[in-house]
Amino acid sequence: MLPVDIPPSPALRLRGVSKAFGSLTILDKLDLDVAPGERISIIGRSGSGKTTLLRVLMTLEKIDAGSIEVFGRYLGQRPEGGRLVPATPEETRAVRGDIGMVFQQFNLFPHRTAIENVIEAPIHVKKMGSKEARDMGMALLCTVGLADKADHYPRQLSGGQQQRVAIARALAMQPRIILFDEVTSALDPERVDEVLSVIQGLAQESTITMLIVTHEMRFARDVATRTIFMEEGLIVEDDAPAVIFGKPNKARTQSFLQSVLGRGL
Amino acid sequence: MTALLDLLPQLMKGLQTTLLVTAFAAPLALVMALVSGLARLAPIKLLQWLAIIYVELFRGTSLLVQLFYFFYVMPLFGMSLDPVTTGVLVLALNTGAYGSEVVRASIGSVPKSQREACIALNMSPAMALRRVIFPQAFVTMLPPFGNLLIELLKATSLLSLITIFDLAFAGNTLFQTTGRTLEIYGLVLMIYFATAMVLTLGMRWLEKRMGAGRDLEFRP
Repeated sequence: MLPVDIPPSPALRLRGVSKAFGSLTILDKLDLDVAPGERISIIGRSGSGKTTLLRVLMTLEKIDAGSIEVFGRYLGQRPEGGRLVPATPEETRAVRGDIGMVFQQFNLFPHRTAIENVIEAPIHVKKMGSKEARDMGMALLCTVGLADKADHYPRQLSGGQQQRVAIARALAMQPRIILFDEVTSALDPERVDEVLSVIQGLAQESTITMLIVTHEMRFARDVATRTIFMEEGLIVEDDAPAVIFGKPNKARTQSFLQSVLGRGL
Repeated sequence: MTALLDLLPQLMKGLQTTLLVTAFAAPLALVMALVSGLARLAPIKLLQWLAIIYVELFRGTSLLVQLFYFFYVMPLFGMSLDPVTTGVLVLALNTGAYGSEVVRASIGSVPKSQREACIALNMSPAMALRRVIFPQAFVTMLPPFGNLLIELLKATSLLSLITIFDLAFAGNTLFQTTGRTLEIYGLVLMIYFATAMVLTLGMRWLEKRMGAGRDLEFRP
C-alpha cells in the first residue's frame, strides 16, 4: 500500500521570489504553487513580470531573494546549515532538466536543420543513441506537422514553422514542465493559429505541466486550467479561467481585460 | 622572353620557402588565435590576463623588430633557432595575436538568445560553446581569417632580412646580379599576387562550405 497521507510534491513551489533590475522591481516576493499537470496561463501588461517569472524558472535570470522548488528539489540553491546557499552548476542542471522553454523569437540553431535542432540536446545532454533520438525527433516533428521539413534549415522555414520546430525541440528533452514565453508574439497574424493549435493538441494529449505567458486572450482562456493575472511583479488574481475571463473579482483585473478586450473575445 | 624565363627557377625556389613558411605559420597562428581568444573569455582571471599580455605585446610591437629580437637577441639567452623556425614562430605568434581578437569578437557576436536556448536545453556552458556558439562564430571568423592569411603571406617577405631565401630575397639577389629591375620586380609582384589570389579563392570556398543554412533562400 502506498502511504496516502504524503501529498505529492508540487511541480513548482515559489516562496518570496524577488527580482529587481537596478531600482526597478520586476518580481515582488512572489508565492506560487503549481500542481503537476496544471496548465496556467499568465496574463498582464508588458512589464508586469510575467516573462521574468518564466526566465527565473528557466535559470536565465538569478533571483535576488526567495526560493524555487521543482518537484520538491530546490532550483539554483541548496539547503545548508538551516539556510539556502547557491547550488553548484551541476546541481542546478540536475533540477533544471525538469523544465523546458519555448521562446518568443524561437531561438533555433541556425546552423542545424530542423531535425538536428530537435535531437541535438537529447544526443549530447541526455546521451541518447542517435538512431533512437532520430526516431523520436521525427515522431515529434510529425506531431507538430513538420515531418516533411526535417532537413530544412531554420532560414528556410516560416516563423510559424520555426516555432513549431522549437516546440518539438523543447519536448524532445522530455521536460515535466514546459514554459511558453509569448510564443506567437513574433509571428505574422496568419501564422498564429498553427502554433496555438499545436499547443492545444499537446494540452489535450499529455499531462505535462504548462506555464503559458500570452497576449492571446482567447487562447489563455481556452488552453488553461488556471489563469493568473500579474501586475507590477505581483499576482493580483489567480483563479479558474472562467472566473478571470467571465467575472473577475479584482478591479485591476477587470480594467486590464477591458483595455485588451475592447471588442470581446 | 627566354631571358625572362631564366629568372623563374630562382624565383620559384624563393617562392617555395615563402609557401613553406606560410604553410607552417598559418596553422600555428590559428591555434594561437583560438587558444588566446578563448582564454580571453574563460572564467579564470589568470588565463584572461595571460591572453591579454600576449595579444598586446605582439600587436603593439613591430613584426620586423620581433623577428630581429628572436633571431639576434634570443641566442644571447641561450635560445638559438635556425632562421626558418624563427620565422615561422614569430609570424605565427604575431598573426595569432591579431587572430585572437577576431576569435573574441566573433564569439561575442553570437546572439545571447542562442546561449539561452542552450540553457533551456540544459547544456553545460562548455557544451554550449562547443556545439552551438563556436560553430556559428567560426563562420563569422572566416573572412577576417582570410585577410590575416594574406597578411601572413606578404609578411614572409620580411624573412629575407633574417637571411632566409624567400621570394623577396630571391628577387633582390637576381636584381643585384642582373640589374633587370622592371622584369624582376614585376614578376615578384605577380607571383605574390597570384599566390594571394589562390588563398583568397580557397577561403571563399571554405566560407561557402561552412556557411550551411546561413545564406539559403527562404523557401517555406
